[in-house]
Amino acid sequence: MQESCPYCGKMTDMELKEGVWKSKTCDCGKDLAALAKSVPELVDAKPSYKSKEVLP
Amino acid sequence: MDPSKWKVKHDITSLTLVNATAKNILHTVPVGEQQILIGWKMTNPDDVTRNMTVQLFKEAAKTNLLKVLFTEANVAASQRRQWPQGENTSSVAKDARPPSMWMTAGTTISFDWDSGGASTGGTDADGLVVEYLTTKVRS
Repeated sequence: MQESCPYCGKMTDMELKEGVWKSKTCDCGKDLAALAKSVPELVDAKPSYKSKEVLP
Repeated sequence: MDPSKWKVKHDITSLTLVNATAKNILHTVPVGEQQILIGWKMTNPDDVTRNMTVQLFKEAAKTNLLKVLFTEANVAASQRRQWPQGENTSSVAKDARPPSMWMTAGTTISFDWDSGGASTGGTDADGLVVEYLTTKVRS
């Protein structure tokens, strides 16, 4: 997998860590992994699966 | 096709979009393999709308376009899109949606997020997931 670097615009390789492709340092010297940590994380809605119904 | 020689894989990719900057992620079939694309999921983790496009190219250099798999303008913040069974119900362009795509060495899927204007950016640990079958081939 490759991703575009937001600093230099070139494609840079990603690295596989624990089953997930993650950003690493680009050839231009910018740490894209640090960039990923600097922006807000998308938190998916986590519904409650606990029943609100009161069982007899 | 001998099913024992094929493996199902999910390429899970951490996605980061930053302020007013386009993003491109490439999935390229390595030498010595062939793959069948089953589907993908892509997310917009930013807090502004983003145009999203998925294209299939013959090579990583993206010279020869084989197909446009998906294109949609202004995907809302934190929304996701899936292929081939999209959860989106609006009337948007969804070109060339065969049940599967055969891909040989070098074939490249290009996932693009257009620049979305001023934003805080965002990251999603599984912002892009590509699901495919893969097998080794004789060179």
